[in-house]
Amino acid sequence: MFRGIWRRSSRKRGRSKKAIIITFLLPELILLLTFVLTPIVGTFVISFQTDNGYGPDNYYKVITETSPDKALVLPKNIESLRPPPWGALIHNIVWVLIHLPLVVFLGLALAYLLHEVKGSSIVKTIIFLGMVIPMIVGGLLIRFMYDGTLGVVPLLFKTLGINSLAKTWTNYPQTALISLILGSVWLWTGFSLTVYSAAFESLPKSYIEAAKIDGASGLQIFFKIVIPLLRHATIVVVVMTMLWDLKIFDIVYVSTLGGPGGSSNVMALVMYLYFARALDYGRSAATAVILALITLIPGAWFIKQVVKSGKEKR
Amino acid sequence: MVDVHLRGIVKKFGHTIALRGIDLDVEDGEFVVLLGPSGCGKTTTLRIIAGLEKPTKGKVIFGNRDVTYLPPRERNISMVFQSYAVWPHMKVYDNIAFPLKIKKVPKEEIDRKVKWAAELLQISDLLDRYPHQLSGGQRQRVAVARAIVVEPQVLLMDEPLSNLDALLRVKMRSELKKLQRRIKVTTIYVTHDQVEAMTMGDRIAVMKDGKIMQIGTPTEIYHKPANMFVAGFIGSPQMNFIDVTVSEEADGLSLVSEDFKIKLPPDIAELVKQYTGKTLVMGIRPEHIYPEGFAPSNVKRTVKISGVVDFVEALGSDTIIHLNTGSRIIVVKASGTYHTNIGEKLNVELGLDKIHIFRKDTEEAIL
Repeated sequence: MFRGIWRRSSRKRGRSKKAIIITFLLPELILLLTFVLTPIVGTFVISFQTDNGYGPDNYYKVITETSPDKALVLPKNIESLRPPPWGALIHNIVWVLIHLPLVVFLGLALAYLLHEVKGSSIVKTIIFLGMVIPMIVGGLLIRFMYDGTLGVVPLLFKTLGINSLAKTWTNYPQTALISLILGSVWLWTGFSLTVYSAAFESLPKSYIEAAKIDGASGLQIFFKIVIPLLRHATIVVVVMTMLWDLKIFDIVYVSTLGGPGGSSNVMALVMYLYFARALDYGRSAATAVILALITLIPGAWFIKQVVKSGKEKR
Repeated sequence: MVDVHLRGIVKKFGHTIALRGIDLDVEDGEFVVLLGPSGCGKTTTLRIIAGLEKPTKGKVIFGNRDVTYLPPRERNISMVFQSYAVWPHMKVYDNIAFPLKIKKVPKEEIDRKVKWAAELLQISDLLDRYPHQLSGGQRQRVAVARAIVVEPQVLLMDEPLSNLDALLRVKMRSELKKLQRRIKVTTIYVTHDQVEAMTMGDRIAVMKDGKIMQIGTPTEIYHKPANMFVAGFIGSPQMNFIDVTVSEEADGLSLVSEDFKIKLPPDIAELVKQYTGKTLVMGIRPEHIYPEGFAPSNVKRTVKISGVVDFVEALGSDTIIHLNTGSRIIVVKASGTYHTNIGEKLNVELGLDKIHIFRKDTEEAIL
């Protein structure tokens, strides 16, 4: 009899526990459904909407577009090794290829060099300023930095006697993309420096001292001990930087608007131009879906790494 | 192997003086323990010997070579850290092989030496594992294996057993000592655990406030402490300290306290004669105070005091009795079979041949 009562009361307890969980989860689920899931599904549906109903036309047109200011890939320019435009998707990839290694290397090197220096927090703060300022302002600063009459970069080359580079970089297809990429290094290095500095702080000093005692040089310690031990920080920096590079928009929008002649165009800007200028929501949505699918690759890898590192005990 | 000499080592961190002139001679193949409480400077001394810190003043000499300003890699030393510092991204084999790889030792020799060290530390079956797959004791063995694989001139150990549980610590204590005897490496070992120091060290340097208070064999340190700090730091429970006045009476000198009066035999009287009328401190270890009738037969001279049992700690092997004499608490270490209860009146005997006498002002030992 007692067993029956106990079972009934435990079933009751289980039901009330479920009710509590649902009560707490429901507001978040409603918000997620309204503001995340619905727009995702909506975008996906719109991307397949055509004048004649539903189909993959938008994707086909977006991918095969040859106009330099909207094209994702321009095979002719790439094959003939012409300067940009190469297409927004290729520009994004170039952005990742140049920006990512520079940000990882600079963040890591600065964190390693500064981690035992007195007053290094001042230097770190200055570098971190790039992260604090709004990207729109950052974009404007980049524009001024490369301006032929006001900018520090052309001035530097003028001083060095390299007159071919003493010009407004953002006005020329050969230099527009690279100037934005290098400018964004400054804006984003603060992030990698902060992540690596925090990782350094949590690294036991004895790991490095043990290597010193064992006879390792500074470089050997850096490559054989420090870099492998900062693997988790590197994963965060690499993934976040890749996502940032793939989604890059505001800097390009305010400094070049993808020009000249689409030579600094990126996917997010193409998506915006379809949406706000051409009022072609179908293609805008198709571009957004393609961009989302591409960003899913590093995103999924990151989640896999996080799950893996959660399983590993240090 | 090599002998190690420290000459007048001073170390300042800003305005804080960590070491105030350390002189230490460690013989070739000797096992010396630096013992002291937290903040006494023992780890700083070890780090200066390792080359991880530079002294503000003084010299570090290995054999005839002044190594004071040489980086660690030019000293041919090894060190075992308190946290083991076994790199988590390397397998056990790679951890042990690391110092050899850095020294560009041929692969076959690395393999031979790693296997030798692993066998010595009984971790041969763990070589293919990562540190996170090992227990604390196994990691500690890996750290020691990595330290000895290069056959260093000097082996430094910074509280290597403090992260282990009590049972494993006892086991590793004897294993480390045996290992050191086997490979005959000059070893300097830092600990705050007096039992570790007493059981492992050939000699112990007891440190306080950046100074070495006494250097000696464990027996010397225990039986002839140089001052009240050493006397109090070594031994568990701590030595009892009792203020006494040297009083001259018709039949000779006596030590007088509120609880007892000890008539001094001529040999001790001669030593304290100059302090007549002054206050000294008498020290006696709890194990040299016996419940009445329980003094060993070889203890001839005793003095009796009485009190009420304030607290009893039955440890099995020993019974620790806190005796309230009315003016102070005296701790007595009796045999584990001895039984008494809180509140009972108890007479105890102080073994006079085991007393220590210290100056009250300088705390230095007179006897």
